[in-house]
Amino acid sequence: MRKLALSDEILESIDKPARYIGHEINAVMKDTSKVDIRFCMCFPDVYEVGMSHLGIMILYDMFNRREDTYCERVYSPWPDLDAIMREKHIPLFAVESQDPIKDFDFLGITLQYEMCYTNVLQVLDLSGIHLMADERGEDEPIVIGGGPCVYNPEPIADFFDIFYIGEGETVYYEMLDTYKRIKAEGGKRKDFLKAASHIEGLYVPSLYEVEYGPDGLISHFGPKDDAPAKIKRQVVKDMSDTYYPEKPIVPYIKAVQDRVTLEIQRGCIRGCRFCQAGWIYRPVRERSLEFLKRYAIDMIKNSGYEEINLSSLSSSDYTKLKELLDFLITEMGNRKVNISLPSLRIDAFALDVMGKVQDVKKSSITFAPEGGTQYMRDVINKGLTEEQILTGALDAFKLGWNKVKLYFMLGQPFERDEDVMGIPILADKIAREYYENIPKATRNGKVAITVSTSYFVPKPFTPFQWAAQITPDEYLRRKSLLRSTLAEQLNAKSIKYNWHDSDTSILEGLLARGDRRVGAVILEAYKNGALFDAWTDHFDMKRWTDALKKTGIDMDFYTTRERSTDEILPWDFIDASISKKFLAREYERSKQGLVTLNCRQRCSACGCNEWNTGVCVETRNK
Amino acid sequence: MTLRIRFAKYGALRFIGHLDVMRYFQKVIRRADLPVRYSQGFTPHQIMTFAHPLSLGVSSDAEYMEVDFAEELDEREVFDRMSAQMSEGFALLSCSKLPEVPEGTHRDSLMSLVSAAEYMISWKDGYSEVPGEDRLRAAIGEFFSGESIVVEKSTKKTTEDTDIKPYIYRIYPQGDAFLDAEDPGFYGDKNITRSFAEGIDNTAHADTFENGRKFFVCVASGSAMNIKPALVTEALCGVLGIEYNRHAFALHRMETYKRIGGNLVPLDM
Repeated sequence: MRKLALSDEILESIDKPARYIGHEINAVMKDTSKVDIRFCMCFPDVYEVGMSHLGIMILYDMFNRREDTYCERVYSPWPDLDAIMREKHIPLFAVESQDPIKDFDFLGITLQYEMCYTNVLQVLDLSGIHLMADERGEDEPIVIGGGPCVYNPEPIADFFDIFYIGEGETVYYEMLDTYKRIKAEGGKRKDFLKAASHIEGLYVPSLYEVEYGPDGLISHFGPKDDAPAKIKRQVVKDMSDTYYPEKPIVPYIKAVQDRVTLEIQRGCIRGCRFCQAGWIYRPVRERSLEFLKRYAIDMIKNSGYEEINLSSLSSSDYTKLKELLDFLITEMGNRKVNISLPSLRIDAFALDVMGKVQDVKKSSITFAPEGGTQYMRDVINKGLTEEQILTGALDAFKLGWNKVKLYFMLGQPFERDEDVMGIPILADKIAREYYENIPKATRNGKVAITVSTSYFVPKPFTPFQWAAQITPDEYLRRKSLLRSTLAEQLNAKSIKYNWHDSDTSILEGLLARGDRRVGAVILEAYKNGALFDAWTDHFDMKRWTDALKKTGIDMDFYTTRERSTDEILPWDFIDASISKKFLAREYERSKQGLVTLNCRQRCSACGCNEWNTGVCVETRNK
Repeated sequence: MTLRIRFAKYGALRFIGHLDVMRYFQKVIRRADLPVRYSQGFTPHQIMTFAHPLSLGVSSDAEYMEVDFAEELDEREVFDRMSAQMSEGFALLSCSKLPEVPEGTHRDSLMSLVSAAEYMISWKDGYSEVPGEDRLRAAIGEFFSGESIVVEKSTKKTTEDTDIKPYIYRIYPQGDAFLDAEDPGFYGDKNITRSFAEGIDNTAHADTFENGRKFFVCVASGSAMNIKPALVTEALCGVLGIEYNRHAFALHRMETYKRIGGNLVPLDM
């Protein structure tokens, strides 16, 4: 029997001990004495969240295809175990072998949201790895960061040895080969890091220097010696000829995503100006129907899951969606497997499909207009009109739905009070569609509309990267304006309003667009006890305000200040294929309320066509 | 066709809970591609029931489940196909077809059949004082000599003093109830039927410890009356004069019983 890192006594004392025992179905078990490289992949949040992440599954499968490499996993220990590990000096371990992380060659940490940064420090700390990269010795793992947050890695640059910028499928093998070669030559840690800095897509922050002017702005950013000045974002060129896990790991406890995930395409054609994912995964690249059919069946067979989820930023834009769904509805129906369809634009086709795969009485339809008026939706380039929403909702009501979810953001650039007030007015119009058109006799009770607003956080590599985030007070004012306007609506009783907390969003703003100096705040907040900041129950703003006070970092400088388009931005060294000039032009068009057509309608020359793949090739072939 | 399946749960998987065990077997059956029966509705569920939830941390050689199949199958084939999909920590032990019930009637649920369960309780190494064999034997004697054994028993809502003596069906120090029946340390019902499912060693998946000290106890289990083996252990520690520490004992379920007439009979018989 496998020996576990935690004693029975500890496992009997903590919540959900199965988070830490590993050995799930399809987890890879290798003889650790027969591999050259040990890589531990980390999702810095609790197991159930981390196990739901497709990116890690893809890389885990890809690494483990190499005979010389053993890739394992680790997640953030929950606070109950965290306390025990600190008290008893138990080093953090990988779930597969249960060996200490400190014995690994690499620790790869995926950074999916900024609020996980204190958990990154927790993972390093519990592993016995120095938090500051420049203090790490030869016997400590190389710490690599990846994921969407690395499009501005500067606030956490001091904690990482390497950042992998872009999609993981491309240069990791080259990095591992380089590591083996340098190790065989007797090279040291710094020799490897230097070599890694010359692999396209890898950023070694210690090889770059930053200077600041008297105004606090970056006055210089560049490589110290021969490291490349620009780091090129990595893009998978053929999505149907690449790594994908045929045998997904099946956890014993229920993960957040308790289903097979089928990524049907990567990227998005839409160009919504607030959406970072929409830009950093350009150009949209579809996986072939054959690829998806084969993987859907194989993954269901190999996992035993009872649900399959189609994943993409905008599924309705997948050109062969109808064929794919026809296939899945038949095949999955025979196997009693449910199909879940997020991110479908509500139209006649979508409603037809949804009616086949879900219980209309229990499910809801979702719109994400993100802005309350047509002007606002033009500002953010969200190509959704009021007519489309009202028609979609009415069609859904006629088919038996009566629950509607609406998502909006408050605080996007150029938002006026009338745009805020437009949100409850739109919700009320939807309710009117229901009560005016659905005869009482056929109604399934009242209509239930849920309006949710988040607090907009401007992100790097979007046209809003220069914009000011509104202050928390202003956000709360707009929230109250929305609420009072809602109360005046005819159908206010059918509309429920949820809003996102303001503290975490303003901090997210600091971490998203901060520079290297912000690292000190993260470290200080962690020392103050900040952990699991993405969890409302665990978040405590005081730990952060104390940290800001102590480090003397001015939050407003990073959040509510509008940047000039000629300022050096902390992330300017990344070549994301989208030109700064293009983003500035989009920001300008936004100011004028001008819509930019999507990639399938017309190429707007963002710069991504240099990859010569996906939609960029499609349009050119036409 | 309904099959009753006996399985073991052990090692690291002692730490997954009852609901997760159910989810685990649903996926085993899907991976084995077996034609099970599903409930109706938009989210059909496999028709599968379990006998008696096992507490977290406890190992077992006597877990039972029933699965309804949509067609007639050879039970050996089902056993093999499911076994091929199992992971370390679970093992199928036996699989038998239940007699059909007349149309319009249905069988008692597996859960409602459960009347008792038998446990092996071992002292772990490195914890509190481990009693000598004679002292343990004498303590069991003393434990049972009184009129009643009153302990504090907690339910979800209340805590009250309960006499658990009538619900401890037997307790013995050696490990073979039939040899032990002649042992002065044996107390209780000598007529509990031994499981004769072939090839089953009902302590095969239990952890073993250097000190070797253990005792065995059969207690009332199920919906009518449920005595946790830990409660008996705690009470016995009181007699032994040993401070009770729940982490100092390894619990292993050896058998789960139904009652036929006045007798306790293993669920696989």
